[in-house]
Amino acid sequence: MGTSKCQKTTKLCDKRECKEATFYEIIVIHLHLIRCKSCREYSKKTQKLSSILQKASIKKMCPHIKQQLKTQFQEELNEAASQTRN
Amino acid sequence: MNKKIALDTPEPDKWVDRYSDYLYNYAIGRVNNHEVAQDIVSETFLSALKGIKNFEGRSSERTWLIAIIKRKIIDYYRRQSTEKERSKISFHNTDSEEEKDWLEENVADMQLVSADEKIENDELRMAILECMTELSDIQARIFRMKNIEGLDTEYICNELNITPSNLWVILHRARKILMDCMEKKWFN
Repeated sequence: MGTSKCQKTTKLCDKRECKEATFYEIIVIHLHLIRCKSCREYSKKTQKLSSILQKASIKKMCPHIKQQLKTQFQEELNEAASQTRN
Repeated sequence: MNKKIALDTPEPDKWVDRYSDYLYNYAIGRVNNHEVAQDIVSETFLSALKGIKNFEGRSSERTWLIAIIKRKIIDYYRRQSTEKERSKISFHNTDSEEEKDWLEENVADMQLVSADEKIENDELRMAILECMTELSDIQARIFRMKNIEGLDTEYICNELNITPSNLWVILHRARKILMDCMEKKWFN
């Protein structure tokens, strides 16, 4: 994966996994993969990563709650810091 | 860019960003309740802050936080068990002993299969989240926003003040690190 074409293709493979590659970019990927074994390997791996991400269905903490937690925790940190100073 | 989390110095101001999703997924896999899991995460951070002097740096911050959240989960179940009696499973209206045995056997098997799948998915989820701690802060943030929260590229770029080209480069590096890590942790 040393050539600039390989670097470009592997980035496009990730873009494709995010469903954001254009039709032209998908053609570019395919044309390169036909003749490049290491990029074919990369393409397989990145597809595998997408499928395990889907399978794992990582839960997201509600952003609002996370922000509240951050604020509350920051207050605790400030308090702890001021107690240490005193 | 590739800043790794130090093993010996706790950085509490970064805990929420770095570990809240990890701990939340750990908790939800065990308590199966969204609100309870959030409360447990919050209690974990506060306990960790109180006990920060006990952190000796012999393990990573994440391992230390996991040890604390485990105790919080145990405390939660202890509180639960004092509040209500455990429900009893009884088999009524079965015509014969054979029917009763079949029912017990099959219900047990069905539970076993779904429990196995659940455990595997929980383990997979935690392996991915563990690998995410190998990413730099910006890589983890972009990966989370793009590949977990599924946010728009334009939105992320505006939020983080980066170009789409930068985003794809950072995401590519993040995915590569994750693939290598998952290869070691999960597929081998």
